[in-house]
Amino acid sequence: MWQYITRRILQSLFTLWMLSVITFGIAKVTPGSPLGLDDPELAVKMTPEMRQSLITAYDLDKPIPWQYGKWLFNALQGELGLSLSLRNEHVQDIIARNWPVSAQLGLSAGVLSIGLGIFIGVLAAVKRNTIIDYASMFISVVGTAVPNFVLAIGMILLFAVTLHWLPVTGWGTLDRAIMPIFVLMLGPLAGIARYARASVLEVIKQDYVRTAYAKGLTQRVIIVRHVLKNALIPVITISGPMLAGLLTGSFFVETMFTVPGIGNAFVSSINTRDYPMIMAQTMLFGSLIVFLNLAADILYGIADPRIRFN
Amino acid sequence: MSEARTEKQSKTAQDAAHLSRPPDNPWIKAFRRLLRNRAAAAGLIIILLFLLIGILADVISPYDPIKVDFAAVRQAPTLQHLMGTDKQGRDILSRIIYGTRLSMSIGFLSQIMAVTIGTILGSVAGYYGGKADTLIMRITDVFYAFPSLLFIIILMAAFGRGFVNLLVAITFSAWVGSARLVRGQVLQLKELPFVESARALGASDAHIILRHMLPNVLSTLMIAISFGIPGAILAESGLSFLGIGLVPPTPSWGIMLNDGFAVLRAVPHVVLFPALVIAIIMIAFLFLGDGLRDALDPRG
Repeated sequence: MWQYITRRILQSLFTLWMLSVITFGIAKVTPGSPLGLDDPELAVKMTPEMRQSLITAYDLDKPIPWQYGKWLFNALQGELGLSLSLRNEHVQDIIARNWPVSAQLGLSAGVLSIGLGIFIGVLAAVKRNTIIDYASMFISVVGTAVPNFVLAIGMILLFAVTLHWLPVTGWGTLDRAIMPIFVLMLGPLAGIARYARASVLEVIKQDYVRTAYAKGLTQRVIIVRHVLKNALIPVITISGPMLAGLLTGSFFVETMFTVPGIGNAFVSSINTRDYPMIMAQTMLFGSLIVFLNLAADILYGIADPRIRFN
Repeated sequence: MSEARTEKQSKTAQDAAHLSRPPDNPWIKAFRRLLRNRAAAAGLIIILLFLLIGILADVISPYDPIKVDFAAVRQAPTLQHLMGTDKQGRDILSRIIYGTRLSMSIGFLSQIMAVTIGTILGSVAGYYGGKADTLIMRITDVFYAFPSLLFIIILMAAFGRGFVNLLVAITFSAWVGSARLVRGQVLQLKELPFVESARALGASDAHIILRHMLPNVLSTLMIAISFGIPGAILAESGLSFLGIGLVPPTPSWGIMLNDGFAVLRAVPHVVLFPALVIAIIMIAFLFLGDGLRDALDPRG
């Protein structure tokens, strides 16, 4: 087991390192210097001394591997540099300010999507081919196919513009949180429900379940004790990637409902080409996803011993 | 008793008919299975319809999709403008029709390119193994660990907005899936006797890969494409909506959503129609993809 965990941690670290190289590389090959050094209009206004001091300040005269090394060294100590659009602020301070809001939104949506997803999926499988099953299939089709920004538009048109029940913008009160959380959670919920349903249907066919019925156990006991334990193990593995969907989802949801979180900040830093912000947030999102996948794999390894010896 | 006998007889008759007929082409059989699935058939018809709309955009579009008409701003749907007009007086139906051409082009082009790249790299990795395999697989591991949308966004941030850049960014993030699929299948096929015998008969590597392996991978790839196309359409409309994808006034569904979202309270129809179109095409592709998976892989 420990060997398996160690191997997965090393793989994850390698993945993160590769991501940092790719992100840094893309920022470096990008046409158009963020400081406007190759902008002819700015170049006229800039004295050679100013130009030189900018180049030295941002280490642009040093070789790229050296720049990468310095960036990585600083980043590992939590120093992510100055934001280009908010010039007086450090990237880590901006992220620290926006982070709690996104954590609230993401955690609520994550917990709800796993809980409700498993519940709906299991219920649909147990009540196969009833109205409950069809209703849950409808939810999972809508959640899987309809993109979150289209869903958000539909919700806003219905609940805010037509019915005037819910506010559209802001964060901090429950009524403001309902729509963002619902829109964000529906996609992962649908995926988990589909998967849980298929998994339960697969397990129900097994011989030991038939044996349990033959022994005269009630359906309730069989489902809870014999089916769920085995059916939900594979659900763990897709929960990691599913929850990664919360992250890209937050770009849309936070922008549309003006939630002041990191998804919103990421989109604005893309629009202003704020490279220190983009790089820091990409690495943050990357670490989060790698961590989620790692946690899911380790849980899976603990739950199902066959996986460890792969 | 007599019922059982007739059943048995008809079964023998069926068997006999089956024997006398040449064996069905597995593709035709799969296609029949697909059409028998009503949701998948409906999805297929809707997608073909949208393809036709995209191809015939110049012919059927009632107005120029980017021509501004300040005499007809923000009009509700009328007989002249079936879906109304937006804040610059552009006909929404015409923009949706041209947006269909754009979405379909992005979806199909990016997936064809991605699958070509993925198939080449995946078959090389699977067939030859060794260092090439390790290198290609380590790269795909990194891509696989992250949501593709994040990669596309970073690439768009670096290289700027526009059709070609978006197409390249989507392709670049999409080849990974097919590379892994093809590699996995090639690894399995490599051990099978028919490949062994082809090699014994002196077939070249290229011949074995092209004639004996890829046809076996085709159905898996078709399923992957049927899920990849809506993914690409989604990436285009989503990023254009966020202002990271294509540049206005391009008639793209995402840009139309962006235009409409700004005036959502005053004139809801501007955002409503493109939103509905996106929802319909996404559901159509989901039904087709699920149907294809069931039809092409009866075991799964």
